[in-house]
Amino acid sequence: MELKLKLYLQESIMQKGHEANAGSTILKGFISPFDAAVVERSSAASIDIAGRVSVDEFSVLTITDDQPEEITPAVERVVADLSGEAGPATAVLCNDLFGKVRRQAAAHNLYYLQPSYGTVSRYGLIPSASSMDQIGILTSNLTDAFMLLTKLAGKDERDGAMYPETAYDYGINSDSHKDKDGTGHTPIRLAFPSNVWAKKADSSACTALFTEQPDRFDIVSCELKYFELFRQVLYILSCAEICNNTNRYDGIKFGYRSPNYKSIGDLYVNSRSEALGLDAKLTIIMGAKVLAQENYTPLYEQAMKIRRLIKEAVNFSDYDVIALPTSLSGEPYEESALHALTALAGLPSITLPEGGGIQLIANSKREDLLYRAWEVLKV
Amino acid sequence: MNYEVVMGLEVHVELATESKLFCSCSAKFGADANENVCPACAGMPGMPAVTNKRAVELGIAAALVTNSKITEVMSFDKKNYFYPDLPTGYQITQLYAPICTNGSVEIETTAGKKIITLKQIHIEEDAGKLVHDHRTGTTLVDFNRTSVPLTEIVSNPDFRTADEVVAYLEKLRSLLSFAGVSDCKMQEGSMRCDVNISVREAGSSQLGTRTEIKNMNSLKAIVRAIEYESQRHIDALSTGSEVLVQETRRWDDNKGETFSMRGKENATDYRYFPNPELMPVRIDAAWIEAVRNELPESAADKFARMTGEMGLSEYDSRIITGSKNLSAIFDETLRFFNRPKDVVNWINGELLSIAGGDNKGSDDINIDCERFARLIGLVDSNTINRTIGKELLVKVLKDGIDPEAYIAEHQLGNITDTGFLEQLADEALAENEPSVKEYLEGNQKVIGFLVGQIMRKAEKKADPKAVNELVQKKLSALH
Repeated sequence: MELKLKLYLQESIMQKGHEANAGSTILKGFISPFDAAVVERSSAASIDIAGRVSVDEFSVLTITDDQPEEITPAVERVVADLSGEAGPATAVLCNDLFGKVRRQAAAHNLYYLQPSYGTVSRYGLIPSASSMDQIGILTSNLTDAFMLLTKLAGKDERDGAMYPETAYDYGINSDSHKDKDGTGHTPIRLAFPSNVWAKKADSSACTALFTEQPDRFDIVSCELKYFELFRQVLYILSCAEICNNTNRYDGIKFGYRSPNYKSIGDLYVNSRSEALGLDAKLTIIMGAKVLAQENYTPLYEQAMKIRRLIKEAVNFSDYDVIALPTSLSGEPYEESALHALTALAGLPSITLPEGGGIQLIANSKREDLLYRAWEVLKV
Repeated sequence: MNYEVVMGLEVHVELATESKLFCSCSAKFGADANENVCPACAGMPGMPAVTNKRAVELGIAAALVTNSKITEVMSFDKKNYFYPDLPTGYQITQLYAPICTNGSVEIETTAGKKIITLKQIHIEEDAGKLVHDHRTGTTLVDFNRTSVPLTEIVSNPDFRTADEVVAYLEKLRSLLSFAGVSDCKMQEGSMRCDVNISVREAGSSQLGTRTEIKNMNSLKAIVRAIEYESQRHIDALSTGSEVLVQETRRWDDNKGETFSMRGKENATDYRYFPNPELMPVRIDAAWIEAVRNELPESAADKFARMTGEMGLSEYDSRIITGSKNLSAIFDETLRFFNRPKDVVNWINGELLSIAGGDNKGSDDINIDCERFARLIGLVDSNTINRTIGKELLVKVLKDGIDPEAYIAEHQLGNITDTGFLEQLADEALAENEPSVKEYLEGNQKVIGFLVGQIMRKAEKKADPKAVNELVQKKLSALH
């Protein structure tokens, strides 16, 4: 089936002949020498790239800004297209490391589809935190986003961290999923972690979405273990990886080079000092700190261990899908905890504006469950 | 007081893969600057690393020939530092789960046999090369070596003498080159060595202050550096002339001394951490067996076969098995001319002396073995004589000529017309009556001279043995 979409790329995704700066002055003027895998696959599916949207520098967490959070360019793009002439839906390919795009999507009546880690090639994605980087889809039409994902996902030999499956269909084309009333399926067991939802002032709008359809959803009680550690673990590990991945911006071969240097040391320090933004610098300093010999065991290694415990504690034999709010306090660092599970455990999710904002998270490579849930909810 | 020198070695060996460790660029030595470079190994963003499976297989082979314990699930780590020859700002290496540990290598010196134990072998990527132009004061970077796969073989501090170090390096070279892991060419930098050295009172169980001499690539330099550095330690300990500090040093081959590298380089925190881009690699028993089954014959096995079933001398067999390249030439030539004794004689006698004349070692000879074999066959069948054979071998080696075609074109074949040879013999005897007279007076030695005269008339294109017989026959007829 032909898919019509206006498809945009965040500036961190490479497109041959176009500047890919990942939102950083240090990559100003860096022209991609090749197409990212997602660009190749889009064009193989006859979907043209409609344009590029800017992005927070290396997708780092914005924590130094006291001003009210501005709308991110990706969300702004889709909102603008929606208010224009009627036409195909808009989608933006993003690397939403800390959940900012997802949080804003829900608040602006948009959707986000985050695929399982290791199912969409990161070839051509400027890396931030390699163990968590994942290209997801921000969109005004979630059904189209699932369709698009079937065209983007599948093993690419050029990305060393992928599952072996060459294609995924998420049950979109299977006949049994066409009966929209859900007969022929056991209800989806949906877990609302009580320790997380307790933090939300009023969650009734969210739960109502599902309790109204008791034959499609079984509400299961659960706790999300270690939730209070999510953001620290996410922050420690992502800072370390971002720090390492940005070593390459040293002013030697490409990107910005300071005109002020007498020695190689000056060249490094001045180029990076002049061209990196404050949040990126903070991230890099934090990353260098947690990897320093004296901190490695108490901080980095400890965070790695907790990451494993977090993954192991998510028990998909008791439930099929976990439901989490998309927003609590509105403070970015705190909010990142809500979006940390997909990053830390590599799980797929959909983010919906319905019920005031909700995200559904499934086990790895179980996007089919998310699709089924969406099919029921959208009716 | 008696002192004991204690040394451990870190040997870097370049893996003999076609392509680099994490991209598909060629890993060959000797290309023009920046010819073998792609966005990945030039450090550009957006190119995830993908492990070269062949490099892991060669690592497994290295583990097998050093009796090492192979790690079930090995993984890569990142080592962070800034240097212009390192375009990503980190080196991918193995710290936490190297490919193998606890190996051993048996060496032999004049003092006898000894086992050197290995701490571990790990796989890592090489860095690029800086080229300084002193005229303009600029520095250029060549990324050809960037991400070329290496293994580092780390020994325990088991060495006591420079002799042991040399024997170990030669043994490693033999083990690894015969297993196809690396060509181990020190002069091309595909085998390099760091020596950790300390000195203690003989009998002490405590180790002294250790210094590391980095990046040496000739056996001679290594021996000289060890002698210099151990003497420096002994002087410091016995006279108090200086205080030894744990540091990294370099060897200056011109001055014949080691010197300290900048303090900064000694204090670097490399901020190692597990590489999140690359999945750990599971090495199961089936994979190990597959690599074991494809291991080529070792030098020791080949030596046993040559001296055993082939009936060759230990002397000849040692020369052939001393070089992986000579062994390969020997095997390949045998495929086309299956007479081991003749082939060995041609290699050890003629081929090595021609190469030696051009200042080439056993590892540098490159010859078309099929043509080499045919040439040996032509001499064996008396189509040409050995003298012409040697001359043609030079041309096979250097110009790659086809022996038969060349012989036909230049009419170098032995004269087979016996009537013509007899005529030449008669002429020679007639022209050298004094010699013939001497023979008749009992001087056998003149036969050689007469044979030479006939060979000259035949422009060397005769079988000397046949000419010798002919002269004997003619002379005895004169009695």
